[in-house]
Amino acid sequence: MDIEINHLRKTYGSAVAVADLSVKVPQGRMLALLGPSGCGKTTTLRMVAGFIEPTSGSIRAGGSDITRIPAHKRDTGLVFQNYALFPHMSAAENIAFGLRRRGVGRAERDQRVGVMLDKLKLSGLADRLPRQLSGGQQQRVAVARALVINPSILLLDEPFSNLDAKLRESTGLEMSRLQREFGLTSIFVTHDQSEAMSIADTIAVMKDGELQQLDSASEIYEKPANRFVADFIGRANFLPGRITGRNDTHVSIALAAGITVELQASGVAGSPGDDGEVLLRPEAVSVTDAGPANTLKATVEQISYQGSIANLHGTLSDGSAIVASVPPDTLRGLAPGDAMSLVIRANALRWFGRRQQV
Amino acid sequence: MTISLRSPLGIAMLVLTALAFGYLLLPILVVVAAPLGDTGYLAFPPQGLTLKWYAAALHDTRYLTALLVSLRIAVISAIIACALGVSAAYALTRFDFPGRRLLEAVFLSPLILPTLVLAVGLTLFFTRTGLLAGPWKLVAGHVIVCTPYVLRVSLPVLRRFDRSLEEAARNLGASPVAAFFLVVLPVVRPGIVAGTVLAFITSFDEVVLALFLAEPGAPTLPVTIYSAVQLGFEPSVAAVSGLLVLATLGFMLLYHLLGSVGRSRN
Repeated sequence: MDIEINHLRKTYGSAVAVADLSVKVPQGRMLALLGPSGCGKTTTLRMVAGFIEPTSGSIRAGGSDITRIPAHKRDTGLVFQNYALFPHMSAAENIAFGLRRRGVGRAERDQRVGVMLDKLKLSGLADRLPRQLSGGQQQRVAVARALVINPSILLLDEPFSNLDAKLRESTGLEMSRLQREFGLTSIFVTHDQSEAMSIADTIAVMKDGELQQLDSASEIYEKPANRFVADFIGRANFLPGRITGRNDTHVSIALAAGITVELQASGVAGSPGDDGEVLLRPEAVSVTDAGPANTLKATVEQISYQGSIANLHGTLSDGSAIVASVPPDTLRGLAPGDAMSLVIRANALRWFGRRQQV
Repeated sequence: MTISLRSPLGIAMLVLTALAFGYLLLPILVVVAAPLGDTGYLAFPPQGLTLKWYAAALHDTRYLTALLVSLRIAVISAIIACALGVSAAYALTRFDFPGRRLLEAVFLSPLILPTLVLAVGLTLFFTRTGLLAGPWKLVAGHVIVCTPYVLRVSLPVLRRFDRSLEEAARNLGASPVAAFFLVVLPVVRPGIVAGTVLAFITSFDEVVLALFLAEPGAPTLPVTIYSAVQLGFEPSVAAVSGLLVLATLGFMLLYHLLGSVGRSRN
């Protein structure tokens, strides 16, 4: 069942929680609502679940308008951030709750609960109360409880935020496997960009109730729509500069750090004389012996090893800071205080004019 | 900070604690022990040893009848107070409406209003209007003083209740009413039971309203004891009090026993 959100708006007095959101999630796809806290992502999810009534706009599921349908009559399964397991019921009773409400008979209920317990590796824990389960087990019970009713829409509210880092990744992958297996249309709220990028088909980046960009993970990372998105997704260097020339194919930008770079004209809005910033991802930088073009002179400030990569913090000639993520074997004995040359990949640069900044 | 019980400070604290407990509990011992004396008046320590006053109390139908009246009124009052108090607490914690704070204050006000004022007011009210008859006048009075106890105890419990549990139930297909009875009520039950027990005890123990509002022919136990004490202090009255103390003790033991059974099963 596809979801269609049209001009959704929610205000509390003069405070705008969600400004004007329009998003479509095709059948079987997963949309991540991503943004810092207070960006309206959770409000949006709660409007889809039916806990908050929108100020205006509509929500359609499978073509029919569900905007005014009460929460308990919507066909959505929701996994809560704190799992919201019923503390007075065992794991199996928690999972069976939705089936009871739907009047499913005892035999079928037991069978379906058993299947879910198996699928989520909870067999043997059926009779435990929630407080007797670990965080990961509680999370799986919450997922089983949402899935057992065969909802056509699965909603996830920061479902992994209470898990430790290792469990988070494996659970995330498991979640997207289940979502595909059940063919569920899904909306997933998170403030963690790596979570969103790893499991969502489409990401909606939100800020202050407004949609900033709606795209696939790679598009958002490589072609961020504005400075906020560039800064929020992944790590970013912003190098100040000015457009010095423009022809049909290329735009020349003089960086304050002392070099001029050439960008594809199609990706740059602006004309000569405009001030702005160039986005440079840390992994688009490499350490090298002075090359011919696109080479920045910098001083090493600090090196932090992360195992497979090292983050090299440096200062450019104009005093601005730069971070480069490079393979550790390319450092060749650099130490704080040393001078180094950094080559930047020009095709990975993005221009944000000053007027465009949000 | 831990203080050794052998240090001077520790010994001083031990003595103080013992004195405090003695001050609280010894009068109860006197109540239970005094009617054991063989004198026609109350004396402590009891002189001689007899169970006849206890036997007299048990055989006196006035006390038994009064006990049944009290139990009936306390049970009905507690149930009504529970329903009203929990509903009010739910509304006060769930919905934000104008005058919410004022309403909360009004609901809790009988706790500070002298019962005598309430008793006189209600007597006038019932006489003038002719509303309610028989035991219901007293039940109405007791509900007014008992509801704040239920409210007082349920308010913080409902305020602390994790609302996402209720939303989870809604999300799984439970109507608001079903979500309340299947999820909210079972989770907050201990608090509500405590409030209701408090309401029961308040009604069972109450004298002033009962003096004014009870049916003329069917006084409650506290009223019966009160009149007996005024007419002439027989040891059998003290024996009734002693029996009440023993019954309370029995209930508490039973409660703890059942409580530990319930805990070990989980």
